[in-house]
Amino acid sequence: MARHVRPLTPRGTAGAGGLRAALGRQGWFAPAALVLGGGFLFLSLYPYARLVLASLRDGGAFTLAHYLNVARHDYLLSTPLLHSLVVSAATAVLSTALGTLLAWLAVRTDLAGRHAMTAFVAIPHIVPSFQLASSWIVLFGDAGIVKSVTGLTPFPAYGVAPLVAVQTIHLTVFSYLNVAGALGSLDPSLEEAARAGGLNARQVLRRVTFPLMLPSILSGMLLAFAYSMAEFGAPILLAAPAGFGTLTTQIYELSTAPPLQFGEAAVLSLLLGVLALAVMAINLRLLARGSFVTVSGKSSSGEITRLRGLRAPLAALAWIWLTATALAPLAALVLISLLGSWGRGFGPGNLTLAHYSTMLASHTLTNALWNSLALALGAAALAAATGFIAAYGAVRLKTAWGAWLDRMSFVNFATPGLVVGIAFVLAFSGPPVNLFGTYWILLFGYFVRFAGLAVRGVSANLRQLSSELEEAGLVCGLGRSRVLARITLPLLRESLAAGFLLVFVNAIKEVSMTSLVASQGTETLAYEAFLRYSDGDYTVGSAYSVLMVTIALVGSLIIARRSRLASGELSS
Amino acid sequence: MKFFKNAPRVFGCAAFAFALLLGATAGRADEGLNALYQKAKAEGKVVMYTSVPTFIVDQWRSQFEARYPGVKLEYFRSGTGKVLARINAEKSAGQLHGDMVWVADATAYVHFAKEGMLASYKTPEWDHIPFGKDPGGYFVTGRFLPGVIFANTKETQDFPASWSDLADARYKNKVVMASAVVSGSTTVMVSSLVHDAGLGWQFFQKLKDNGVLILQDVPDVARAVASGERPLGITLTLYKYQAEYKNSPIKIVFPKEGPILMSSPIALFAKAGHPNAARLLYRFLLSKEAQEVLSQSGIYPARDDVAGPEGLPPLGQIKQKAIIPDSDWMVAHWTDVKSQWRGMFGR
Repeated sequence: MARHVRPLTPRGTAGAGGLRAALGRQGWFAPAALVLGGGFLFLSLYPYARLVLASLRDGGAFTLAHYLNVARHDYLLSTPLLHSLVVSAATAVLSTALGTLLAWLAVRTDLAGRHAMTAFVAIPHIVPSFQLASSWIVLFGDAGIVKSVTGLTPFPAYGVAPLVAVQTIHLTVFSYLNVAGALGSLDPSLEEAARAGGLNARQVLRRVTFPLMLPSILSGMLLAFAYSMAEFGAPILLAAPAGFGTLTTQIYELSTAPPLQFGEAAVLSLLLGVLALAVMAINLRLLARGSFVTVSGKSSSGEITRLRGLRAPLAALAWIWLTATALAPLAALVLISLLGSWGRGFGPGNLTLAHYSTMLASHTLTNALWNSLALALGAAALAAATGFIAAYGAVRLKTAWGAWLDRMSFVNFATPGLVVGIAFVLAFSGPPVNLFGTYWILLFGYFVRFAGLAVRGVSANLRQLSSELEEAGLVCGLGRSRVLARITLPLLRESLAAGFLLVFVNAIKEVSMTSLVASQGTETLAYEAFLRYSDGDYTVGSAYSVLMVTIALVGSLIIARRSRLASGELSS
Repeated sequence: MKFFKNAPRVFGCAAFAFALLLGATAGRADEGLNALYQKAKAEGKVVMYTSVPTFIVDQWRSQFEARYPGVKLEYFRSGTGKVLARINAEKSAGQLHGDMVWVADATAYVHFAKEGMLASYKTPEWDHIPFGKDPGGYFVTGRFLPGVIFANTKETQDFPASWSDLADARYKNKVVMASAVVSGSTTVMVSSLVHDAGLGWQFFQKLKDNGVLILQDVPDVARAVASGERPLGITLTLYKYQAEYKNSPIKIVFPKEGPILMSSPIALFAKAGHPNAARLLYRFLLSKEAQEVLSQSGIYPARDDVAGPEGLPPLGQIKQKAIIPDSDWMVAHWTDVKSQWRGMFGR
């Protein structure tokens, strides 16, 4: 019996039954897009608008004085801008190179222990970057562990190199997850064809695999660049003592050191946003040049490259690196949390559990724990859902709202948490929308700040999926929503899970925005740690950090395990 | 004749009336407190924005809520800079949520008063505070933070005798301090050393030439000295009294000019949502019970009838030989100080 081929439009004809019926036939996608997409756009544009207003106002009057002031002074603009760009570019390139290499080793080779690699790559990201920076100082500083054990100081404690090193280690996970996910869902028939055509393994890698991975690689590089531009915890600890600052340390100083220069801080923040948009535009331009479609419904069998002679040395190098970068910061953190007194060495005689007792005796602990988990999971869920909607809207449907979601999510990702915090206080701590003192202001803050992580990853992944699969579904009579649910979403499972995981981790450890927006009762574990640190109470603060990192780690392992992230298994 | 017959009666009445009046005024302080408490109970809570260390504020909260059941103490605690940023942002948003403010930066209060954000409130407790009181009643010192030199006794036994000694060649690469751009208390200390102690900017130029390490804020300086990273540092006394430094090899050095005695004022917001509860808390924080908590944590209380931190000279003694920052000069030169610093140290 011949099947009636339905047109590739939503079922039924428009007009039959009216708008309500038409919407009903759309299924869940349209209302979800409206609520999540619209919600996100409001939550990101309104505070930004208030920020723009703040940059143009002085007291009550409108003025361009803040802009002129910024342009006029080197120390406000050109010097920190240069530093930011250099550090972030270096971090982006290095972390992407590392992440891509590690992802390839994990998914496409027979390296020993590759199934455990994801955890080790993710750990340095779960530790907040200011902790990583602290650990670096504790390890390599003049009063550091390395010096007290070996008498040497192999690496400088402060400066550009330590800053780039710490940030690279912190951000390798972005490109790792993006590339591993893409490699895992790659259709190898193109590579097989190349091999059949006579190219050797290395040539296939260079001329077929690598170009196909370009969207994911670029995606990871972009995320690392934006994250680094928005970072100020590590620059303040590592760069400032060496005498140089970045745009973010400048924004931090302008908005927290009296006399507060809010207007100028807002101008610099807007500049960061513009830079983010520019970088994004370059990324899109680069991607527009080719087609990276790979998963097109044909059967795939993951091809493993045998490393043979290189297996042992590569394994040694990779695992030394992974263990060092994952365990050293954790060990330093735990050590500080057990330290009895500063200046009495790091031996067992100076270790104590007293700080943990202090933390456990605190009456705000259980509340902070619960807040951390609930807010992070909530924000991650919202972000993953919005990531899907934004990616679909931008890449598949090619709509304007999709492109705007993509842009705004990235701009907010490139915005320092401190600025998002200020913008949210400006927008939501008074009329007309007053969320002061509630959990919502934190939840929305994390959502807006980190959704970009999910959007980027899912977009890159979606670019690789041929629309043939969805069209096949439509041809068979499924409505768009059913197609999305049963074909598209499962194919995107890895990038969605990666997005969920990244947002979860980042929301749990977020401090700068939280420190401005939290109120009594809505504190998180990271915030409690930060409070202790700013009191000068590093040891108890580290105890809180250890607890927070443990929870984030366990959560990440559960999420990664359940979605079989980057394990090299097929995603369809 | 009639007069002398009635004199005792008249005199007695006058005396009685006088005694009543005296009793009334003397008791007014406590009566006022009680009446204030009743009004505060009706408001239910007070919100304090502060940079005072959390463990101290928590102690105050227990004491305050025990003494005044029915009035809750809520607080927003962060570094001085972030508290000021939040106040600023809330003001721009149109609704200030705090009832009172207590941060380390004295010049911020001058700024707040100028903007009309503070309420004038002079209380009997003011009589016990020797100095650091705003004539208009808008703010008063709640605690004194002495800026001193920390020395790591394991790394050095050569302690500087005066502030100017720090710039000596023998201390090359041995000194650490915080940034005057980021750390509010350091801005005050730098201003005081430049202007009030008369050392001028040459002092800091020499420090720079001798490789002084600049960290972000004063707690970092305490850690750097305690851990032995640098043997000498400019920071605040209170850090020595924290648990993780109690057994550290730190010595607090009072140079011969004396410490830099900074005052950290306390003030009420004019548009407070809970004005009476705020006044109650204000008076509590200036009471002996609350001020003693400060002493135990290595901070000098504002009140002269409360003993200072154990192991440190009493306030009366320090006051005679201390560098007292000139608030008016600081307010006028705040941005200049920062630009000078920036020009010298690069950021």
